[in-house]
Amino acid sequence: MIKLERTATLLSPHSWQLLPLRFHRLDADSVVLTSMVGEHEFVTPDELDAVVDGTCTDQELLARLRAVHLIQLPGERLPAELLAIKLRTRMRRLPDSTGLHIFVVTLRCEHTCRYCQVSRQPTAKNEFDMTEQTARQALELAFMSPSPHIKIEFQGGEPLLNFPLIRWITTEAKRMNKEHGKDLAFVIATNLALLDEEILDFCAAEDIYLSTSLDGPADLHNGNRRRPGQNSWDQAVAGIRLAQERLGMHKVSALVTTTAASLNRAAEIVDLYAELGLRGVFLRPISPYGFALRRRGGADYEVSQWLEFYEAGLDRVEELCSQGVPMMEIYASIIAKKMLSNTDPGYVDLTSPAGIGIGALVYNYDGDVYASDEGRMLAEMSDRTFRLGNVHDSSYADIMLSDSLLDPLMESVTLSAPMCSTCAFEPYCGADPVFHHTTAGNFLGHKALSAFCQRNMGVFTLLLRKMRDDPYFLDLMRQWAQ
Amino acid sequence: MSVESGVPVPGTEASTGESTAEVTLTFDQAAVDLDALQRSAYALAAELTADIRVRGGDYVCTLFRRRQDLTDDELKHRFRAEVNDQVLRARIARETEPLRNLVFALAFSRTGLSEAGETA
Amino acid sequence: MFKLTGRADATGLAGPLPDKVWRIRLPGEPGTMGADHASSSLACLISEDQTPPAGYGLYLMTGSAPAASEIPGPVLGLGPELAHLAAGDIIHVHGDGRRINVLWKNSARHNALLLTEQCDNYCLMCSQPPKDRDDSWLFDRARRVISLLPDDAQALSFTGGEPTLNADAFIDLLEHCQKVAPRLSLHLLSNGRRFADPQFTRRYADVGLGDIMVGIPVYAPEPGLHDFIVQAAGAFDDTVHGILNLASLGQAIEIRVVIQRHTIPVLARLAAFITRNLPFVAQVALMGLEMTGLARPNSAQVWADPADYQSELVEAVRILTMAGIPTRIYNHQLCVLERRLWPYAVRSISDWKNDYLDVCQECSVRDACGGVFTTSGNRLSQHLHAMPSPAPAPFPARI
Repeated sequence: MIKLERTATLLSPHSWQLLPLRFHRLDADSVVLTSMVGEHEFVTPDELDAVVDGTCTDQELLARLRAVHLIQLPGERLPAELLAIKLRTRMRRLPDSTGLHIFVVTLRCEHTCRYCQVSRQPTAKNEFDMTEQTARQALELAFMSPSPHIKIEFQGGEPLLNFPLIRWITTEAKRMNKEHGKDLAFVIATNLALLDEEILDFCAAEDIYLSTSLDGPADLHNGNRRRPGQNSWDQAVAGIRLAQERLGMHKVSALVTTTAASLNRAAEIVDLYAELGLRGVFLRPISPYGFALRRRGGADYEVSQWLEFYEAGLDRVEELCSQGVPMMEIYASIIAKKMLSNTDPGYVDLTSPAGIGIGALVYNYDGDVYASDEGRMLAEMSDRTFRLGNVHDSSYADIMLSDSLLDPLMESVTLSAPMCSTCAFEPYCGADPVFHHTTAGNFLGHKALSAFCQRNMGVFTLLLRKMRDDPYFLDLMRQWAQ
Repeated sequence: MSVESGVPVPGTEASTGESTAEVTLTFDQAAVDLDALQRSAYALAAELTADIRVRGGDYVCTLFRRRQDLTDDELKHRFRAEVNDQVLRARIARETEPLRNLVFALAFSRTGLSEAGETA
Repeated sequence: MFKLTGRADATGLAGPLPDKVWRIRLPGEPGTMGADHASSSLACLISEDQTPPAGYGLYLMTGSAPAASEIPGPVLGLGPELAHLAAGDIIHVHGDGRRINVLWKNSARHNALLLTEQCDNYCLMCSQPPKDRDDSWLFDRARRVISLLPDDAQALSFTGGEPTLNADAFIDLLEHCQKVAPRLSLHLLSNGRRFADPQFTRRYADVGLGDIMVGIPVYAPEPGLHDFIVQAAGAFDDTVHGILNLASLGQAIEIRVVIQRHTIPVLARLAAFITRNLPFVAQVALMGLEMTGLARPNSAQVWADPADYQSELVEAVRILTMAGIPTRIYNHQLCVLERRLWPYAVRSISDWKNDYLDVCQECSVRDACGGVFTTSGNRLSQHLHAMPSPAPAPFPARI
């Protein structure tokens, strides 16, 4: 006996109402719809019109849209309640500022990388080293962050040139943490050339992660990174292997920096990472700052070229996965979390409000505090827009409530930015006031003219098309969203 | 969902698909808001700039290409398509604004539901 | 499998026997035999050549009852279908001694107490079709069973119908559990709708049971299909609100999905819905169909051969497990499950209604497999077969 006919549970024309929805035309016959919390559905252009006009008769489509809270029946409350819960969940890390604290322990470096964004000093000049007094003040500030997780990242120059201070900061931070009880993590961003037994012993004992640059095969890597002796690649690979053996595979990661020379070699770069057991490969474009701007060898390619490079790299990662080599492209995995879950991946360079200050703080060797790494590089080119204070004479409130921080945060937030506020990909994207200040002269930029926007739109549409058309890739993205 | 008449500005050549210096589209004010036109010009700023004037009951948009590889027809298609989409977005925003506000209100209130779902 | 109901030969009774719940003991079992309430509900199970000890309120014998004069109390003869009764089992004797229901089988993996046959849903595939009559005596009976449970009783399910319909009786029963059997691991089967009432949910949480999980069916990621399957408009709304209310009070929730013809096409979307909207659930159980109750007349609407839906099942399991949600597959035979799903399969069919077919005799994984529902009759997969020996090499649990 049927008490409730199926027809009574179907949607007749004009019986539903729209929930907040944004759309993007992927192809001539495919549109992606996204909800307030970034859940998506693919429809045709005609289907979009029919759903908006109330004339759609495709019950399966209407059911799909109900399930992801793009439409509802008038009077329903549950969809709005679920959207609200999901929205809160996506934003729940916001009050937990600041998670990443970057200590620039020295400006000395023995490489001359073509795209380096740091003004390097020759290895002998100690006046460009951070002192213990400065480090202590910086740690005091860092521990004032509400965040239950604090990651301390050592940068430079080449931070291992000031290893004694790294040792001091690690020890001191752990001692101070006895009172705060935070979850502490440490990472050194290094070219690995200076690794020795003492440093490795310390990293092993103190649970320190190592992050390095590995741009690709030897000729590519060495072409980008000039070092006396021209053996940067050999040093990097030897360093990676040594560190993996002594610290464990998962303690060592590498980043790719893409130059014009990299553009047609994506598969080789991925293969090299696979060969070295580096499961995660992070394909990033070059940023426009520092030495990169000053030298033509910097950002000398178009976004469209980088997107082709990225797609080739991603395809190669997918191919390796299908052959049983478990690789992961890290930028895609960050976006996968935003697309397929309500978990904030905590990546400061793709978040709104922007990650400046509230996601990361940078303590320069001289005690100056910057809202981001790029903000510090700008200061080296005499643009101190993103300087928030100095550890020796600024309080936590001075720094976190300064106009230098709050103005760019507020002006760049995507929910109120032209084009961003109506963009289907807003839940996946972020604000980058430093980039737009550098390239467009204001914190907001003009997204139609923004390489940041063009790049991210290119990645989002690529990932969505692949998820739509390639079930294996969809499965990979689900794995990477974990 | 076409809302314009495609009438060329008097005194210039009708569009032949060749690249002339400027191109004009006309929109009926009753069908399209100025806001939609301005948003379209903003969104297409990499490809064109637009001069928007009122003439009688119409908006007249004169388009100036920034990329030389675009033909007149392509320029018009791009602008018309973008205007259509902006009109659609405005309509969706109008219809969904109350529910959008409700979601934000629920999200940032201190009701009991706020605890559920946060363990993930 | 074994029978849970049976007849007794009451001809040996000297007088009327009251409707009562009894726990079975064997002669010679240690323990008090005083006149307190508990021991007055003890029944002694004797065999023909045993001398029955005095002091029990009831005696049970397999076969026909001996002459009343030989036994120091009322005696019933058990029919052959009840020959499985053993020490620790709890029975309900009614019909003036002529009918016996087994309510607790001490040796069984799973035990369930039926609390009501009333329900406010009417699922197409309901294995316990609702009856609209006053059966509140079932709560009293359940109370008595719980009072008689052995000290080492581990787990108990509450089933229906919809157990929460009678709110006061239901809460009373939970409070009784908390008082006399606080270490029991409880599993409540409910459609969850009552928990849409925040006050009822608060009462439930306030009982303070340390180990209770409520298993709530959700059949679709949106109201249209779910309401149709459970045959009640507004059910999805109530059920999901109920789940949210339970979660906000920190209560353990399992989501149950019966896999049938209507749920298969939306299984992956339902899995995604759970990961995005209900990620806090303790686990998700994907369940094979029991072809009994309403599932039989609705067979054409609901029946699906497991061999035909493996790709949908794999996708749903992957979505859930990759999002970190513990996932179990119940009531599926291993031979019709894709190999990589075996790590999720649980031997879940209750002892009293599970069995194996002739074709299973030669199966190399019979002992790991839950077998079939006897209640499904011959409505089973057409692809059941013995797995060849040796068993295939174990597939890694993380796929």
